[in-house]
Amino acid sequence: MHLEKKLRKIPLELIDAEDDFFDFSDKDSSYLAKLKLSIKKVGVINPLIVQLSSSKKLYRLINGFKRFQIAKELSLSYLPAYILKRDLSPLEVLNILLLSHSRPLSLTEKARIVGIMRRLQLSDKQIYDKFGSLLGISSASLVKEYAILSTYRSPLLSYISSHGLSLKQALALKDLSPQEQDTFVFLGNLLSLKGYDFFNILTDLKEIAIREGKKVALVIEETGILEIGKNEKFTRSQKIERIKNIIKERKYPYLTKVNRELDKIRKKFSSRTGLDIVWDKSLEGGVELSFKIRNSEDAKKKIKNLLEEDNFSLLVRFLEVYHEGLQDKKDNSG
Amino acid sequence: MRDYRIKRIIVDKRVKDSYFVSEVIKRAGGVEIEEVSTEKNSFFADFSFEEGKSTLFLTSFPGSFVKTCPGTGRGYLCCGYYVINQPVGCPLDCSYCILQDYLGPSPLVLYVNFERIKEQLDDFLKEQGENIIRIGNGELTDSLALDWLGDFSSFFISYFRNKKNVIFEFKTKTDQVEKALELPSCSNIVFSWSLNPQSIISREEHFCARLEKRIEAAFKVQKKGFMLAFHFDPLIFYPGWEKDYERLIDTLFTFIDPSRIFWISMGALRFPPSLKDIIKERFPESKIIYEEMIKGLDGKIRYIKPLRIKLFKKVYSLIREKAPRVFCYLCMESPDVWEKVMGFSPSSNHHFKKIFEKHCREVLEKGGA
Repeated sequence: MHLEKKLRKIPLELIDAEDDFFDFSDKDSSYLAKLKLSIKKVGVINPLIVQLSSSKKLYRLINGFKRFQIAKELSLSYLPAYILKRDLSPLEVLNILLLSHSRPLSLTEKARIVGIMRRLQLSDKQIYDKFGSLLGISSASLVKEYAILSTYRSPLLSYISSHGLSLKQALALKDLSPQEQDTFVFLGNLLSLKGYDFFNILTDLKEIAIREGKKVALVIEETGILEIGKNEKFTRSQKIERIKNIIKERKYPYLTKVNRELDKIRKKFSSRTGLDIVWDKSLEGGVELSFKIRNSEDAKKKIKNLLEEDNFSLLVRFLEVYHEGLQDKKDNSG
Repeated sequence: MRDYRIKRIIVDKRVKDSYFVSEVIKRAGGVEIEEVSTEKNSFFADFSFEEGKSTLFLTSFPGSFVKTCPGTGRGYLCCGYYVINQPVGCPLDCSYCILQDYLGPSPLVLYVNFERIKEQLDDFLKEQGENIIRIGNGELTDSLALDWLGDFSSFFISYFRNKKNVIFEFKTKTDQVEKALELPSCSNIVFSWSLNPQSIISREEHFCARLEKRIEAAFKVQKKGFMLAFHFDPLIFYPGWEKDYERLIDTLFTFIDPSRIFWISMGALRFPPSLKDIIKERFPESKIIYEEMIKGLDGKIRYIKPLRIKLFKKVYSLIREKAPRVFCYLCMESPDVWEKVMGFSPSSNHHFKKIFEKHCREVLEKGGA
């Protein structure tokens, strides 16, 4: 009932794709390549949606921007299209688009749709009430978050969609400056960071920056993690591991110092006694002594070693540091 | 003085004829009143924290008001406290408050079926026999922040006054003690204040009374003859914390007589991981969650142990200087931290409860600490 006529074949030169107001689709390069191959082989199967412009000379492209672009590249002459009635409001057009959309919407596509709705002056509540179920958005407060995502620049949205980030992960970029966003996405691209690593590394950097009263960009620079990302000597997973370690040491400077000191004591103690000390690196759990014994003589020897004054005081020192940290040094807090 | 206010009252139709409802509405002044018959959960689904904290829901509660304090998970000692969940929700707005996570952005709830609370307390106390019970209503709310609407303090004081094995605690960060001061005192009713240096109050404890107002209120309560308690919880690390806590404890003992203090607790900042995102979102200016913290054995985020010990040792020594005999304990801490700070540790939660019971019996017998 919204269509002017039935499916038609429209000459490419009569389609106007200048106005991309309704274009919400992702432009993932691998998907584009696949689509191009398919169109080359069997042509455009899924019709475009167009609307006759007010001058009645051209058809304004509403849906099918990727197909149109590929058709142009392949020099096709005609494209199948449904023509929408001219008197439809933008909101009705959007509704038709959503109802006719055949595949599940991605996170970034939902965000762009929410962005279009906001430009059409719909409140978050109206968006949720009218389109929530169609978009798969489960609460009005989530609409606000999608709206924030809709304001992201194109390279960011492209990264989010191509790396499969969740809404929460994507929103971790929101309070960074454009320069910081670009730097982090550059790092993300270098390491092909997927959701979990992307989010955790970014969150840690932001928390360090807040604590130290610095910009995230400066923390990235100071930690030298971009250089690690660019270093071709390391594999991707080695780079990620190194970066995580650097960030961890920066996030937990005191804990790192304490654990280093504990490790020093442990090594000395182990070499003298043949016993090992195992401890929870967060210093919250317990401390265990462990040793392998070959026979009763070996056991006697190791226990005797342990009880020797110098060795035992090493153990005492270990426990002191474990519980009370490095008392002789100024701690980082306060 | 109250910095927060109730803007809207929602009345469950089932309780609209209750005397208590009309009394609350009268005291709240000209606020928006609405009657609902909807189930609470669906009705309040889209509340923001700000709306929730300024909305009061009057209803009745068919469940159990009296519970054991949830305490925390394995690895840390808890004291065996009991809680009465009335009211539920807090109009104060501390950045670190766990209720943001536990209750979510829901309205403040006052249950008007006081008869049921009374019946449940009767049954509960009968079951407890001669045991010493410590109980309070400051777990899911500030005990006195909504007192101006309903005189809960009068209800609880009147009920517990003659229950000699029970110590009832009002835990607050307000200075609203006027209603309570109208009643005669008794030694098993404790008014307690959570204390932090004014710099933390200003930055993190929104709508709460200033430090001097809290101490002034405690002084009035002391003068009236009720017992006092103080909670240095959460203790917070920040640049200059040592000097600030020194000043705070100095001021406290300028006005407060240690023999009127039933107990003092210390607990370091800790919170479930899910609260962190809420604090980031609601209090972007707050920096307290960015210190060096780890996930503890109970899953909560807390300062690393050496920092906690440093904090506790300092504050404990300051307290001991001023009040050498006052009963102090650590809230949700591990036995090794206890040993480092207090020189001993309860061997279990049960032992901890027994130590506390013994202290309480002595104080109740003497009528003072």
